[in-house]
Amino acid sequence: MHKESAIREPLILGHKTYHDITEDVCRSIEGKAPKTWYILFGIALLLGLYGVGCVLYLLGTGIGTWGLNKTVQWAWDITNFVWWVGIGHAGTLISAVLLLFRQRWRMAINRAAEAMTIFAVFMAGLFPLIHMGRLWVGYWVMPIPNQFGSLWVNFNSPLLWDVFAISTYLSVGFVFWYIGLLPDFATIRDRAKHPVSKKMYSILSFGWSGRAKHWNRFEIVSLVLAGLATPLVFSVHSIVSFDFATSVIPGWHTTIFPPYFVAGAVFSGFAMVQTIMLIVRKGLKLEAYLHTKHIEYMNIVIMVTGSIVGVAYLTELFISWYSGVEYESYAFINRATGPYWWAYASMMTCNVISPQLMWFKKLRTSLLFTFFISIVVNIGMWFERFVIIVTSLHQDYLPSSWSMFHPTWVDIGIYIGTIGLFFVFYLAFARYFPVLPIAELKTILKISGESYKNGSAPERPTPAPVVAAAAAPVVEQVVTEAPFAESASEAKEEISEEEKQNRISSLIEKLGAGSADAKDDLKLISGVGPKLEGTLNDIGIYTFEQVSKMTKEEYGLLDSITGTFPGRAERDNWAEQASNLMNK
Amino acid sequence: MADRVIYAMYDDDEVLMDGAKKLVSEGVHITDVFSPFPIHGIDPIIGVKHTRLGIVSFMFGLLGMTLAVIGFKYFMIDDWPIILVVNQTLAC
Repeated sequence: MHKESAIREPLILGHKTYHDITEDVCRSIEGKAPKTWYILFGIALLLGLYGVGCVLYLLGTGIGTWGLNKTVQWAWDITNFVWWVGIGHAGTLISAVLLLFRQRWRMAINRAAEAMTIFAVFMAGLFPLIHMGRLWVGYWVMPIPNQFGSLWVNFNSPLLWDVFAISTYLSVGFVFWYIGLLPDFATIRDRAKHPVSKKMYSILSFGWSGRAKHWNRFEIVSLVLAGLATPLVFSVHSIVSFDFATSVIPGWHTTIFPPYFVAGAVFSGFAMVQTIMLIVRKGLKLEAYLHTKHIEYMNIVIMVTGSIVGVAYLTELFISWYSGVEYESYAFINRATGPYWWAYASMMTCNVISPQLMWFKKLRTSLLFTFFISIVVNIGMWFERFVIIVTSLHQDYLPSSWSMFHPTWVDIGIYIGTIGLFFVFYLAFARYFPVLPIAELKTILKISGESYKNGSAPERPTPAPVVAAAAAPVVEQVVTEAPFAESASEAKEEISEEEKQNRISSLIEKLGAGSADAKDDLKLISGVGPKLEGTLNDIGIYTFEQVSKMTKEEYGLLDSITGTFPGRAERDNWAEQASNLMNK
Repeated sequence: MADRVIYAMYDDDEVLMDGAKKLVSEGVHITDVFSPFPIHGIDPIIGVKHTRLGIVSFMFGLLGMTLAVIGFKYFMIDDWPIILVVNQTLAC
């Protein structure tokens, strides 16, 4: 097994068994939703429905219901589009790039971030669609043979590339998310008690059985998809930036737009992951799997990408002066000091100053501060798009046509509505889908689990070779109950080697010494397998007689030494079993 | 054909791996291993063959790329030429 450095902080806190992971993640799906969930869902649904109403009004009446005018012909629609695409960006980065770099901490956030990506891209895609005015001919953006002769879409236009980039992004993101969900749906299916939910989850899990071949293919497909999705991390937002960068508008035709948009997108995406996950981990009680260290890693990403964005802002300013082009300089002077100075100031404060605070370890490991900053960053990133779009347009080459942009209630309603719809989807996801990748977390449990790292659940010795006489298959019982609370807490405490020796000797004192020569086949005790037998032998327990003398106190002592199956010996009542076996 | 089928249940992946190794070395055929999460390293022991999915997807990628290039040529040059340079003397 892959080893992880001992000084690296564990990713899964406390003593968790494989079974605990399943229980912890499935709890929210199998149990009843709390009242707060219904309240939040209700609010989100109302906002979403209001947004749908606004969209219908827009489609019925026309784009004139937006606050656009002949100078500012593009405003909130594209601002919201770019904002949502940007938010979706973290999901692909986490699932693809972090997978390729084998970042194990991604497993606490990848499922939720991928879901966020998909829902955010839904919301983003809505804006260009309704912007077309005639939604029912939306399929014209695809290069399909048509009745207008040899008329094709314009392949020179970045707006068309957007269509392809966003739809590829959505489909690859969805497939990635779904492939990961398959085994977890199967887990829920196998646990489901209600026939309807069993049926639903068995359809969703596509007949997943968990055989070795399935897992082999699962891992290869994840890797291939990660390879396919990595270019998307860079291409999608590059192309979104081309919507502006290939134009001739001062303030837009900037060559640093692609990298700067990509960094900005990752920046805002991680901020949104923080906002959501800080609520989710509390609400679903997943603090053991997503803790301060994960938050800190994400804050470092926010800090780095935020700094890239900051450098890009300053570079833009410098180049606008250095170019010597009056129009170019004016665009930037107007941004900072013109009528929209407040938007520029909020952008600069939220995006350049706030991520710099993450240099302080105290701040970046504070959950409350992180939550606050994550919201600040998303406000800032909305203003960034607003500043780029509206302030570059509102004072154009002809001063007589200068104007301001005033959003109408339809503009605002649609924007608020997408936020509502996003949370409708997200809350439904958090309720019915496994928010953490159950299967993937289990693969890192022994590498990065706290109790495995600090030795309170020590590395089990390699099993004593199966005795030749025992030709019958070794059937171990699967532990299905969660360990008792008291023994679990006992297993958590760290014990030194010396202390361990003390406990072993006191245990043997009580049970009486046994010898390897006169050993019984302890595997006959239900609950003891070859591995545990080896552990018991190492301690000095060889015979049924010794085991039969065990009481609650000795069980506790044994658990504190082995730490492997807390509470198990007592539950299976080894002592009684052993005395029965002894008398046979 | 084996004359009997044995189902073995393990509650630990490492124990399972060691058990599988032992059984295979004793000539027992292991039909399959079912697990709730991937057990790394089990494939060579029980003989799951390496997949060619990676190569296949690369070839599909090449196919898609070729189709896209052919499509662009047809749409923009043959079927509906877009004249990007009006003054031909300036074209290189």
